[in-house]
Amino acid sequence: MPRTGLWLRVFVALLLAVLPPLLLLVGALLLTETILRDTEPDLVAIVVVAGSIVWAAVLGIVYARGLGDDVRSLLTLAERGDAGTDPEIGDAYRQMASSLDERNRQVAALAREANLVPIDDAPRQVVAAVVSAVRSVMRDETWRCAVLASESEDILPPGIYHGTDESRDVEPIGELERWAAVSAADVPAGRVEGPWGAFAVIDVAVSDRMRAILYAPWEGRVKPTPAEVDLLTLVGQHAGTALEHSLLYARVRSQADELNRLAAVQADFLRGVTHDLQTPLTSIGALATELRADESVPDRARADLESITHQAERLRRMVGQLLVASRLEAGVLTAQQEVFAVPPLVERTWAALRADRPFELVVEGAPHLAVADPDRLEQVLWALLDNAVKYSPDGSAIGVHIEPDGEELAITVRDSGIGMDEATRERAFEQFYRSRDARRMVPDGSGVGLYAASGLMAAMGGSLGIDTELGRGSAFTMRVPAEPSANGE
Amino acid sequence: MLSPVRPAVLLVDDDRTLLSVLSRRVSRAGYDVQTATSGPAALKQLEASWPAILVIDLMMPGMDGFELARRVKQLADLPIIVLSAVDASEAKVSALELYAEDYVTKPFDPDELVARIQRILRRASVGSPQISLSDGDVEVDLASRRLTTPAGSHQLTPTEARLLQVLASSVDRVVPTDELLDRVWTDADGADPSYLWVTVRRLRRKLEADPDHPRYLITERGIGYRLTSGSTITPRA
Repeated sequence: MPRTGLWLRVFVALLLAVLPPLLLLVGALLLTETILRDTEPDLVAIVVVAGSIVWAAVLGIVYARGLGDDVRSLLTLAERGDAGTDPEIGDAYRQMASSLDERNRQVAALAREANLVPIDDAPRQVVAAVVSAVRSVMRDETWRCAVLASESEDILPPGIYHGTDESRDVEPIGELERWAAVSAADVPAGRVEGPWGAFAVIDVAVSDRMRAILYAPWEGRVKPTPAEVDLLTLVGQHAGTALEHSLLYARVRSQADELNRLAAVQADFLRGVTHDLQTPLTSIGALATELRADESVPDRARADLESITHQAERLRRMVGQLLVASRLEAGVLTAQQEVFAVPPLVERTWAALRADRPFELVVEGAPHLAVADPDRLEQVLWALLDNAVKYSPDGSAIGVHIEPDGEELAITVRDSGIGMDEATRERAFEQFYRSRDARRMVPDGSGVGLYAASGLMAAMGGSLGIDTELGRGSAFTMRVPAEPSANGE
Repeated sequence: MLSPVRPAVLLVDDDRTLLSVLSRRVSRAGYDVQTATSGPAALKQLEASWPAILVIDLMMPGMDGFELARRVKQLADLPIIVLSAVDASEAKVSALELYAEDYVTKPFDPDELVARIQRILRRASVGSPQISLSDGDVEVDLASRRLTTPAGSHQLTPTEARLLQVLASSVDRVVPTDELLDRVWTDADGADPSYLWVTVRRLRRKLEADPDHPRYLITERGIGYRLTSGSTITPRA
């Protein structure tokens, strides 16, 4: 009952208790003055007093009941506030709250453990982490995981797995696990009972080719409630997801490792071969040069020695290109920064090619010295001039044009050869890329030359560009940092 | 009359063919050539006499060129050229700069090796690994080719380091252009005075607070260049 209603009723009760006797008194006085003038005043007073008493008694009886109810209800409320509700109901409430608390804890623990289970670790560790997570969620250290069939037995062999804190090996699957798995095959989670006793079993759903269960002895324990079954099902789904991710991760990582291993083998092979070639090449070149200098060597042999020297030189260049390619792959290519004149370098490189072609070197603008690595620039020049000769018709001219452009020297090698279409031009600097025309014209090219040239120019702080037209020839422009060579003092 | 003493060169390489080819070429250039086919053999020869310079192959079975160069430098500060089937980009060669004056990447022209031997021997008599100018305001560590000024630190190119070394050997005196070209560059470089002008210009950007008004690297018009010590120069071994 509302407290304001109570006070209103008390007020009305008092009013009713006092007002009628007053009215009776006033009425009696007025009557005494007028009609009952001859009546004894004492008698009137007695009647008034008696009437008031009777009225008060009636009111007292009537209101004593109503106010008592109010007071009783107030007392009940006070008792409830002080001592709680009925003991039986209180117990039920407490059990329910405790049960809810435990369920909330389990769900929170599941969420926490689900986050903690690693996916980037080996699947074996992930299974162990799943077991530990289930133990933590269920507050029960008897849970284990049985992997009955595995699609990747090398990384996750079948067996019984324990928690991460147990340094126990994987144990072989027994009859118990097989029975538990078969018994619980139709439901995601639940209690099964058989020759080995009662068990709670959760199906860990991974894939068709992989089967695992989480299980724990359940003897003498009440059958899991629907809510508990739901929770166990959730546990199974989380475990399945963690395992699936882990297996996927392990497979991707194993593939990546294999690819890296193959790339490393290829790089090692390339480096090994080129390194092994370097020392004998030095000896061959040096011996041939020595023999050529020997005046007792007949002219015919001298011509052969010339060929040996030239071919050794070509081989040396190709080995150099392969080395550059392998260094670009490894990201360890660096270049010296020296000051040097480009025109003599172009002339020397052209002479080393011994190409029987018209050749024109044009130098324009104020004299500049390149600031780059002369050996590296020579490698690039040789590759471009060699390409120009290889991919243009016999007898056609090759031209080199050198001109300063800002703080760079632009060195352009031009031929009137087969040129390139747009698709070939876009892929020209890719390693091992060779267009169909290139394969037809020069079947034994390596596809490394332009790739190495482009990488070398970048390493020197320069660049390499192509201007080409199919059937009309190509112009490759190297840009290297340069400085005016005039004496400014 | 006594014939002039031929400087001794110790060649160390496990490839006997290359050793034979190089021996003949270096010998023709006027050097007294000794050879060894392994690191331990080379160290044994050093017990008997010290050559003017060592040429060491980097990749040898057993004790490699790196280890040999390290041990040689513990015995004596002999100049070393390393022959390498790897090039300057390899980390190991960078580390080798601590012990080797120069390296030649295989395959190479033996004439190039001879040119480098000549250049190093010409410089060897002047060498001090550190240059200090202006009472330490400017420090140059020639081994690591590092130049430090109050404004900051710069990496020198091998040519810039050689130029500074030659100038520092005659500090406060003019070194003629021809002599600088001869001692800093090899014949194979085909250097002309413009190489020197540009190299000096670039070196001044690293060395001088105001490259247009140099304090240390002074041009002697029509003659050559002079390195001033600022106040004093203190070559340190």
